Amino acid sequence: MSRTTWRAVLLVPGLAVVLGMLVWAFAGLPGFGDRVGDYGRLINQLAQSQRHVTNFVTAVMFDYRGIDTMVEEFILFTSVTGVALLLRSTREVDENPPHDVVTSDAVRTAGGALAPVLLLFGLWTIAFGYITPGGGFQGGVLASAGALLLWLAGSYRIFQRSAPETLLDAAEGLGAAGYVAVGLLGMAAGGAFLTNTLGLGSAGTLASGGTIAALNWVAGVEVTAAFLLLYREFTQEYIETFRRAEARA
Amino acid sequence: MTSTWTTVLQAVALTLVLVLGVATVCIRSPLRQLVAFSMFGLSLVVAFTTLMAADVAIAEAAVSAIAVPMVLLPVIYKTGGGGDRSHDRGNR
Amino acid sequence: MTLYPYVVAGVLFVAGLAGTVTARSYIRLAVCLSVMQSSTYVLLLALGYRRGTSPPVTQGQPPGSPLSDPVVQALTVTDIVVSVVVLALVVSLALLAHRASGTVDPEQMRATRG
Repeated sequence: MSRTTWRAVLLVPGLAVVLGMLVWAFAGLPGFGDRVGDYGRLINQLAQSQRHVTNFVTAVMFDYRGIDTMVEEFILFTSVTGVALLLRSTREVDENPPHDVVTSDAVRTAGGALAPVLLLFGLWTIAFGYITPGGGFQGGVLASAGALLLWLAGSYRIFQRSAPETLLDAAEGLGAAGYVAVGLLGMAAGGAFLTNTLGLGSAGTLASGGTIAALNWVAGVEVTAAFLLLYREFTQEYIETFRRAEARA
Repeated sequence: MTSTWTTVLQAVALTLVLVLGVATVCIRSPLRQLVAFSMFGLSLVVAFTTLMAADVAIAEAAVSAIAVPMVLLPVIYKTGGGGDRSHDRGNR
Repeated sequence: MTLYPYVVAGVLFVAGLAGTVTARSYIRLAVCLSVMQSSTYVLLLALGYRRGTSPPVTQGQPPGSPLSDPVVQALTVTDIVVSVVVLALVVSLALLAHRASGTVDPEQMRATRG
């Protein structure tokens, strides 16, 4: 086809120019392993004494750059709303529920045994997020996988029942609003928005960090609820396909 | 000695990232591209760990193994894969 | 090794760009867009690494050991979560386009009429 050959002829020099410009630009960066960022160096020196946490990435995410994380939570919130609006608008409603129960005993047993383990692992990653590597976002995705395993190893009815829509909507909204509420708490105590006003405990224990712990949990709840809503929308699409295939067969 | 081992591991992990990334772009069938994309995510996790970024590695592992296939698979099934499937017709 | 991670990031970006431009299916377009976003993660983390450091967590490490840059890693975690929701949105738009026109090929869709 001449159109694809024309496209290749026009594309390859353009891409070569882009690649050349990128490599020329990257050659001006400090060599790999030599750069010492001043902001990062200061945070590594001071964060433990200032905020009493030992995971500095979580400290940056929820305290030093807390506004960025709040905007990211809103991005997550609005895009999950967008996906729900898009996918629900053209879905046809069917009366007969499909028959999609997993019949293999090994899969059901293994999945049923592992689902609470994944949930617990996700909650642990959220809870210890400001002490060891982890955090609200990482643990939230892992905890949502625990409920997803119920769909993979059981039937979609068990998944829909274990993740009811009203509860997820409420949890997601509470997560996003809770972040703003903790920020307003800082304002009520006389500082700026999102100031760390709760008591800082001792570093290395669960009772440390002040508002970092609160924001960590709030973010974890919101991410879990948002991802579960996303999975609900997409499994609903999948089940719709099953229904139509069965109706045709 | 540990710093040379770290450099060797970083070079290996970054090479793996490069190869799998280019493979993901070059594969035509959407289902195989999804498998290659998940392996690309795993190689990114190894690369992030060798670059001493533990939180980023956990986030990328969770996202690329759980969220990305969950979002892509129903749509691939529903739309039948779309274009670029001329290689698949022989292997049904 | 002083330039290698940057070269990897550049080649991933250009490969993703090539895949996005020549995609014959919106799903393929979404995956190649994600590859482009992954190149920025590699670049950010390669900038944040310093030779001889460990991850920026002091629990379980002798005090005073050098740590890598936590600011860049926080940016990358935000970026990873945003990339998965962008993927979800693009892919659900592709599904809607498929429902309306029967194909996911950008070439074969009729132009919209006002």
